[in-house]
Amino acid sequence: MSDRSPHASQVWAELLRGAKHSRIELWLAVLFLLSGVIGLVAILSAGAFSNNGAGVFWIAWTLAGCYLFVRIWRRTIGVARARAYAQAHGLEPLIYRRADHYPGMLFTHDAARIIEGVRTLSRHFVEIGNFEHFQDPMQLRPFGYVRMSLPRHVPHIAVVARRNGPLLPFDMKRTQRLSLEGDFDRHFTLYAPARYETDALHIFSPDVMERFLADAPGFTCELVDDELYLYSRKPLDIGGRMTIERIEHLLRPLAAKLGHQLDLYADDRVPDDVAHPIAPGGRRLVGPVATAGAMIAVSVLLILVRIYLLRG
Amino acid sequence: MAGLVVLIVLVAALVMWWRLNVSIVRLHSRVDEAWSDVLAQLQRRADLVPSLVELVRGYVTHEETVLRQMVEAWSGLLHAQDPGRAADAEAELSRAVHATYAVSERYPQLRASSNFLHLQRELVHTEDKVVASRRFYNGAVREFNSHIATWPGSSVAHRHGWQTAEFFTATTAAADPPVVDLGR
Repeated sequence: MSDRSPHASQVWAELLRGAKHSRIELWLAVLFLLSGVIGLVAILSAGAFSNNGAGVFWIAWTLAGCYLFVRIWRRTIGVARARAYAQAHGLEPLIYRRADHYPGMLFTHDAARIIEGVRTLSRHFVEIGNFEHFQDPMQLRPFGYVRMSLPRHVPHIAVVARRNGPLLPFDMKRTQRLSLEGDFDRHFTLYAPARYETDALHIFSPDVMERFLADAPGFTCELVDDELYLYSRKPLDIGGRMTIERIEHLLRPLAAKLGHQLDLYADDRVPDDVAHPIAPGGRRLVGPVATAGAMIAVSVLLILVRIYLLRG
Repeated sequence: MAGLVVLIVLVAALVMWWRLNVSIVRLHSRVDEAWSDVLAQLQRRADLVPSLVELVRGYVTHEETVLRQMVEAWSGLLHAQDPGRAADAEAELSRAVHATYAVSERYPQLRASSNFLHLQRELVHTEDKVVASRRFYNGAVREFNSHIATWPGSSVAHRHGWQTAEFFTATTAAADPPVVDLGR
């Protein structure tokens, strides 16, 4: 992908050409905001600002209008920029597209939808975009992501950036966490399926880890099937020069190093004639299960309390 | 009421003790698992050495010392029992294998042999796997050791006789073998 940003006129043209419902949304937000401003001006000129909380009402109305307008404007302009960028660089634009068939953990969580994104047209693709879980009211904020095809299938590996917080949809089972040397553990937590630890460390060689520490401190990374995902808590400015430069700066050497590590990678547990190159145990990480210890402890406590109460 | 509180505290302490013990056992079994992985990778690497020796012997006539060193290192690796000795033997074998690569530079026919190139590639790949398994093992040991060295894990470990595990670290100068460039 080239780092040349689309020209403002191209973005504007895409904005005008964009989906009808986006323009309607934008106009509604403008009307909402304008009605608030008009209401505020009217009560100010009538000297009725403090009558029955009218002032507070119209201020709240105007602020809500501002919020709505900024939010819809940002989204609409983001979509237009992505379209313009895709148009200018011969990429496929991905606008408001369902993505729950992607194997990445964040996409399989509820109904995932790409808001805006671009993808290279080659077989070994790179895709950059923002997505949201549109049926989950707790996940209204969009996330940024980068998706890249890998030369071969790999076990499921997650490298969770600590500064990203609980970005992934579930906590991993603790036994899948790997302790790593150096500074890496302070910034990232690496998870690999049981019995695939060596494979994960073979793929995440010290070179690759160094690359991560230097260039991707805020990204959570996931390797699943034959794809790599980088997730960012902040949405990415698709078509923005800085974003594309940063992603390229990160992806180019990372892809080269990963390619080198994957060059001879094969899952030793799978015979040559089996269709899937990774054994079932290595294909997906698993979430935590309720520990037997906690269940026993609670049961014992309940029994004790019951005995005590019966005796009393 | 006070009796119930004491009872609850006692049960909570017992559960905590039990959980700590379980986590130590789990971490120790992970160390064992990682160690068996290291051994598997070392064995895999050792299995390639006789083929390399035979192949090189077919082309090289005046380099018996290098081959002997490789066989000795290989034998040392096969007989190493604990992580320290295995790491030393592994480092020694790496040095011997890399010395063989250096010798092969003087024999263009050997360098051109597809078998030699294949073996060299396999050895480098296996070496990568050994490094990965060593990192897994050392990570597991680090976690286990820090768990039993800090309270309250230390109390449980002391009571049950758990001792710190040994890292897989070479003590000889051959710990960092030279890098081989296969033109990639």
